[in-house]
Amino acid sequence: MDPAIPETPCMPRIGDPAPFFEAVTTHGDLRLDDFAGSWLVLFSHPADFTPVCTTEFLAFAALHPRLRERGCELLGLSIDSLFSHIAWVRNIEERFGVRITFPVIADGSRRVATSYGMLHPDDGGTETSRCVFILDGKQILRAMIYYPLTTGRNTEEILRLVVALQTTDAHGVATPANWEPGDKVVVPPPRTQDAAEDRTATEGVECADWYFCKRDL
Amino acid sequence: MACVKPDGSLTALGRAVLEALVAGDGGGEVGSAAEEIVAEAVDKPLYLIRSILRELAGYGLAEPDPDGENRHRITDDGREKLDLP
Repeated sequence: MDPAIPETPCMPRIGDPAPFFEAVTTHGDLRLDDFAGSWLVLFSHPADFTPVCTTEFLAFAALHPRLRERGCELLGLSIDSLFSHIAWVRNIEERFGVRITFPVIADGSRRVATSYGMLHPDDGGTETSRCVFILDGKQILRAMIYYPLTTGRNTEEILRLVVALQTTDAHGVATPANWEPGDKVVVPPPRTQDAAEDRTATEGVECADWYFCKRDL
Repeated sequence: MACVKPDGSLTALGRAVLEALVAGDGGGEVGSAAEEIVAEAVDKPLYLIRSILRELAGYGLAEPDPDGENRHRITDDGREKLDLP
């Protein structure tokens, strides 16, 4: 067994530094730290030349420029070979008229997939499941989403999550359920009794109760 | 996205990155530029420029500039590859 591949699958956790990788991609050899300073959406798909994955690649291609506007790069991965990836992205352009502008890792050794916990054998056998990892510019894992093989991802939700995390970092706030940019944000609950009394009287903050306050950005 | 072809000549991107180093950015010695300036000059994402600069360094055509973090400079071999004096 390759000693670089952990025997037991890793499941990285929110807040962990993202596992380092150096990988062959459709844009050349790339390393995790090549993306330092940018946010990064790293996602895996089960297999090239399959219908659900193709719909996802079309959706990710549409998402890519919108992520870039937010300082966020996009990076795909599957265990298919580099030549399969190249043939598939060319096929997508030929059949659907959509250019795939983001790199795709060819992880035949499963080294990256294992270190990120992308292999879920009861769902995908030896293939990677539909995993999404959101990394910030310091390459800390900020969010993860897992979908089964049968279900294509909602890329609007991925964008919403990136924007929500960036909003949290920029303003020190949280975001409520189904938050969208422009909606009110949640003010972190007070940490002391005095602060709780002050909070409900704070101008510009709407409070249903001392612990449940929202404000405009 | 290789910077050098199998015949040893530069790819278009490899050449563009070396030329961006030659143009420099005024922030260091002549023939040196920050990664971000190179990315802007060749209109490619920063992650790709970092990869290309690493590859060019592997061929001895560019090297990290000790005068600044995230800066690279062209080497004599790199200049020769561009047919520069």
